Amino acid sequence: MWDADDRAALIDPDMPGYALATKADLSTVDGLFRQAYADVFNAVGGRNPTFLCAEADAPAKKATITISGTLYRIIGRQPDGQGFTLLDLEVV
Amino acid sequence: MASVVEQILARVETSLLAANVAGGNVDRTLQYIYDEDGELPAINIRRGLVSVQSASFENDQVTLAFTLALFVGGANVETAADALHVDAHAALMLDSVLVSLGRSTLRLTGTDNDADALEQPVYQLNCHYEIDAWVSRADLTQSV
Repeated sequence: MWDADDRAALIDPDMPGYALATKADLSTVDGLFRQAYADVFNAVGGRNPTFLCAEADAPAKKATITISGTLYRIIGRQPDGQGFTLLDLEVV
Repeated sequence: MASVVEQILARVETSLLAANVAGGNVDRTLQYIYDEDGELPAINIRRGLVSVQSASFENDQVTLAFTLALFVGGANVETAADALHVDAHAALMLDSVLVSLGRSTLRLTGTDNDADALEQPVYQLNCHYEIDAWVSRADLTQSV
């Protein structure tokens, strides 16, 4: 399990994709935001937004977060068992 | 000249484009990847099984199965896909060339669907069709 220092080293403002997400209750959580290309059905391509953050800070599924002015809904959570969770997002 | 089967598939594409269904995002290229941002809704026409039965000494009855793969994105995707299918179906059924080639045998045989998400929900509705045509045994390009 990564400890708090390890997590802080990974989710650091100097890391590419670092972002501060604002939850519905206006609290914030920092993490790494990605919008990698993906396709579905081998037929439709686009951006697949994700947000990696500490499991303890991760909002619940179906909650919304705002990143860089865009509102996202959390449609999936993928905890890695090491203290991080990857959130699958879609634009609201 | 193309076979009657190819004539039918080409006409399906022409008919959907002429009716401006899916805003012109209609094609037959299986390898094409539609861009979620700007190319949905879209319809991909996919050739299926072709079966042949003897109809007379000189002619065969050819049954062509094909699928309209409908792709939509955003909110209320099931409703949007259904509306798109209604429009596409109407365009095909009203097409005089398809009526003539298939002697009014074009029919919807079923649908299936799938859902996923990118930046927005993305939905696929597969609409399966069959059409019969009567073709010269000696010349696959000749409808009889």
